[in-house]
Amino acid sequence: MPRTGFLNDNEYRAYPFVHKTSYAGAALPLSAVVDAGIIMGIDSEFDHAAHSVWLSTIARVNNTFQFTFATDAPGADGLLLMFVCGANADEWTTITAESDPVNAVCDRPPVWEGFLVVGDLTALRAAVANNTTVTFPTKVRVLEPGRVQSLVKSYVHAINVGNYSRIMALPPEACQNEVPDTERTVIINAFCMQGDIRLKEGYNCRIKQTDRNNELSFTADVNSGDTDNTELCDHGGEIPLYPDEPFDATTGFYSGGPACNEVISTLNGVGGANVNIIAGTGIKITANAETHTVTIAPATNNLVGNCST
Amino acid sequence: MSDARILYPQFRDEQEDSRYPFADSATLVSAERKLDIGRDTFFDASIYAVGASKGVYISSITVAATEITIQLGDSSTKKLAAATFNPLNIPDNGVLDLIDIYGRPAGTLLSTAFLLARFSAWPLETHTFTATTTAFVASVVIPAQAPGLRGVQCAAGDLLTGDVWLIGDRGIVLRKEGDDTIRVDIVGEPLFARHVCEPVGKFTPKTFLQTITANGISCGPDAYGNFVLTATGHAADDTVLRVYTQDGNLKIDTVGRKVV
Repeated sequence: MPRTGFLNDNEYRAYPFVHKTSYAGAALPLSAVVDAGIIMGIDSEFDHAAHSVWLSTIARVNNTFQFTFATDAPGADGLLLMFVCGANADEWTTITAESDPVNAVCDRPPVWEGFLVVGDLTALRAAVANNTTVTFPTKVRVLEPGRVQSLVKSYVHAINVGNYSRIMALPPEACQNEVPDTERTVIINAFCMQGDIRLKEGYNCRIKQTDRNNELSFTADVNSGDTDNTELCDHGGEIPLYPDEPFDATTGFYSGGPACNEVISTLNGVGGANVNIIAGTGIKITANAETHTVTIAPATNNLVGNCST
Repeated sequence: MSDARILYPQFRDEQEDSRYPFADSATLVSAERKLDIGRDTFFDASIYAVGASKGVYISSITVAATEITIQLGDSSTKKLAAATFNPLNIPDNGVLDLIDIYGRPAGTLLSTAFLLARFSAWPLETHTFTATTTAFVASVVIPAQAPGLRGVQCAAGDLLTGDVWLIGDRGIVLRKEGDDTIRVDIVGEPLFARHVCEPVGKFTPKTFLQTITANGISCGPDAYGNFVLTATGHAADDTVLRVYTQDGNLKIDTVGRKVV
């Protein structure tokens, strides 16, 4: 006994939309859409448990039909998916469509895309006059969940490289009193690296690759990796976080501040956090913290007193 | 009695009477207690677990008091992806989300809340199935092989996908080198230890003593960071001024004695 095909069956039932005993809003000829499949992209934030895809409008414009789908996935907010075919398209015509990416940077994929198969459009042509639009209520003509594939969290799109800003010995003048500990900025070194990416051992770095469990381990190991210390020693053990990072012209330090031999660490060999200067007989020492001044002067009265005794 | 039949049943109604989305050869019977999933329990499925190989099937159904887990496997693993629901709070739409071991979406199983409730009557244990008894038909398994980089997993277990940021911190510097290389340098950060030890949340820069100015002339330390204060010439014997250390202090003193 001959059997009808899958698409032919679908001309007489709600599929690929979820069947309901009654639908709010405008009628949709069953034969108009006989199959559909949607791929929610990695930026769509689609969650099967919370979100769905539905037919939003059918417009007949310039002898074409425009099937517009909407979704409540947060990443696709405001991005509609429009399938366009001729108003007299043949049965089983397959149309594909893709949305814009969430932004134009880094070769981003469409937020969502899909295909649509139309059936016999005779009934739809009768239902939708030229240059008119039929709008369906939100979440009424919902696609069968099995027709929606989610690529959320399914692959790595790109690698970006950056470093937390270094701790400066002397922050910029405007920030002297505002150097937050928890809101350090990230300085971008490279953006949107794609393709085959290699990781290379730099100074004091050892990278171990274990194929058995797909593991990369990074270890700090003195004198491992790059042993040409020229770049490192040119700047007192610091390396730039990005090309052309400015450094202190005197010391060569990227973090600024004085070098060790530019700091007075001992007075006459006496060191410590504080060195006490004590006045002996005939000496008077006064200090002015505001002017950072220590005055050492003879205590004449004392000397006279001593001599007259 | 009417002999009318529905020529074009709705999709879900049609699948109630078939084993779809399981293979025609699937018995749907568990290995231990011979419990039957029922051919009408699931209407549809869409399985796109990353890296799934041939022969995706339900490997086990674990029934607990407040959680029922339907585990999917394939020819290489029995834990490919799983759908979990609370038998006391079954999703109204009957849609079960499949999640793989890394928390990634892996598809859906379509049923109804009423039909899913039948698992509540199963004994509280894990019921296993063989690959042949619960094999899905190939058309509901969307190939999602795993070429390229699917994710970066940290030691803490988090799987990173999408746009991944590698950020150097605490003396580790990451830099792009050439078109496709990321260089990792471990050089330390001189001020970091001091930064983390600050008692308050802000790093207060220190002001070091670098020069001492006397009579308008500024002098810095010697090569060892030492600054020497002297009383005119060291060899002068006609001055009473003395500068010397005493008990860790620097003492400026005068010397001499009474003439009479």
